[in-house]
Amino acid sequence: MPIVEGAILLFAVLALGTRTELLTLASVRGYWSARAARPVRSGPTAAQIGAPAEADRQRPVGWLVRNGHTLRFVLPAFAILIVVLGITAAINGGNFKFGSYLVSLLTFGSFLAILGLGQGAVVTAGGLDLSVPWAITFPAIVVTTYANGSDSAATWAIPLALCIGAGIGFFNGTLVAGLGISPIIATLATGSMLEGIALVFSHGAPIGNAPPVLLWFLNSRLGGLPPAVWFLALFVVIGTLVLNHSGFARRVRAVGNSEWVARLSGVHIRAVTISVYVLSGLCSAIVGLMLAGFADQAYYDMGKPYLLASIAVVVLGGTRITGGRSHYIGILGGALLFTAMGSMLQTTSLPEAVRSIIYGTVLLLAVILLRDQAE
Amino acid sequence: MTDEAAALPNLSTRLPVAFLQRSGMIAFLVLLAVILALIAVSPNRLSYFDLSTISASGTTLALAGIGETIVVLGGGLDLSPGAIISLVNVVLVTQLGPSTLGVGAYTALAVTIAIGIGAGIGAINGLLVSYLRLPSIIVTLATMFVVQGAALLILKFPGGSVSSDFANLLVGDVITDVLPVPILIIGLGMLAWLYIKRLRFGVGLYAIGSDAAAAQASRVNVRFIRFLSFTIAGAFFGAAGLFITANAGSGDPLIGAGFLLKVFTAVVIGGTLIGGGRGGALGTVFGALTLTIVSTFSWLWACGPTTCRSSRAPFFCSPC
Repeated sequence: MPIVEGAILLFAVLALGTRTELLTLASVRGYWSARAARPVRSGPTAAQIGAPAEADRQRPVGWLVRNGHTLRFVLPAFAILIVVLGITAAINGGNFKFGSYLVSLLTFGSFLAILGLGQGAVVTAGGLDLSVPWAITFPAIVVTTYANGSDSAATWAIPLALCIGAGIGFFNGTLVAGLGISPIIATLATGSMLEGIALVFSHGAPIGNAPPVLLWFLNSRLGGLPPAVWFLALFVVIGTLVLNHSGFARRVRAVGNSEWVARLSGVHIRAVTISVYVLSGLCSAIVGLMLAGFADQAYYDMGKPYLLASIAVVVLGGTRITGGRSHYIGILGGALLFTAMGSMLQTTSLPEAVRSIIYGTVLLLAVILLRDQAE
Repeated sequence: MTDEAAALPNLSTRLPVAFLQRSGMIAFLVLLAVILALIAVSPNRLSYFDLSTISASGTTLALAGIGETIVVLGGGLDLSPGAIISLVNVVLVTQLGPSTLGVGAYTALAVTIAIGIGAGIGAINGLLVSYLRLPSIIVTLATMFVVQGAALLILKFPGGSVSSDFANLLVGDVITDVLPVPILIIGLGMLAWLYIKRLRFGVGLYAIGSDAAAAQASRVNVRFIRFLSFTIAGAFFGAAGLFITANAGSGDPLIGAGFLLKVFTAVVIGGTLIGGGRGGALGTVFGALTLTIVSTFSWLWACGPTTCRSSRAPFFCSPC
């Protein structure tokens, strides 16, 4: 009974395992008074940001020089992606149609690219989300159960599923930030409870069908491409803004670099930590809906392959696994690379077990090669 | 030593609580309470049969938990126990099988293989974590997938068997109707932990888990001790794989799949602090037994009391 074991784990860790202080009334009051005393509500002041920008304008520095450090971690994924594409083309010889291959690469890659934003944000803030597979599965099961092939029911079932995803993330975030439980333990326990709930909910067999709107989203063509690919293009823009070019992004990286320094700089650690887990739960739920639309069904362990994949994608994209550094474009590259490797391995006749070995090895190599030399 | 360290800031108030919590006394009391509660509510009497089945199903978890505790005390996390248990299981079933060797030679060979595989994988984890300075979660997540893949490669579907003499040796009785072998194995595991704790390695383990920089400054060889902690943990995971193989008697490449959560739960119930430096493996063993009893009982709760009416029902009914 994973649900019982997960609940016991949470109970035990609450009773015995926490070192940090619990969420107390005093700390809440402290937060509000600190917030009231703060001159600017979000992030550094314009003057603070303006100072380095002013210096740049006076002495123009090349784009390559300014972004060299980022490029060093973002580019490897794309470089290896090109190599993998070349090998795939070589294996398939004359049958290789680049256009259709690219469409399927983008469609399958969109699952991992979306997961990568959530997991990437959590990792950047110094955590890890092990509940991803079950945060994919449970919302998907909810949608196929309640919106069983009907678009009118989907109008409320899809928002409900997304809310469930966000709720799962909020639960994770509260355990980690509010109660001071280690992210691994908290998300492992949440995941196992969801596994139990999904098992009870679905009785272990696929139930219902996806609503037509989800089928349309994944399987039809809109201007030559599935709507999911257009959605991916939009998502990349949003993802880059959220993970790299916003006040939220700066706060997430501050927490990941040093929680203590971030706290002293007026970053509300709990709010940021809870937000990244909510983002991860939401992204997982989106992927769950897309997978349900792709296969026209949802089943008990549909999310299982996505735990290692979501972490591998983030690492391949040059994210520092201990937090504080990431770029969404890199994660996108990691997602496409991981998908391309998967489809390359699928064309060979290697058994599933060998693929699992290769994925594990790739993850290890990526962590070894992309770590900071200074660390 | 750690209990004193935990209690130092405000000795007068913290000492009893910290001592109870970190020495595993709370876990022991919880185990006792759970057993007494079940005896009180169950219609049947506690028999030797119950003792033997519960200890047999709890031993794998207890052994794996001791290993995980060693890694956690040193400040790491190891996600590979389930995969190592599966790999040991399939290697024993496919390579030894129901062989014609004498039971002594067979067991010696099986123990060597199991602990060798476990310690070998643990050593790889340890090398990557300590000498390449990679985060233990990612390293062991990757090895978990590699090792699980290897297990599926060796044996695709559940099947095969091990020598029944060997199985009976590990899950049988030391003294008939008094002491089952699994209890003896759990006892040996606890003794092994108490011995390890007294070694220079044990002291260093608590030191690096509490504050690696301070340990380094006190001339503790942080890297070597971290490496050793993963290797020894791997050996314990191997022993767990050996025992579950004897208990199940057959091969299953996914036999260890559910263990990750259980192992962490046992460690946390046992009072070991995730993050390192406080706790111990005795608590983990009590936690493992508590968890085994409670999850067996929860199956009963989920399945309804009809199973209780069979002729040979355990004292709190059989798992279904």
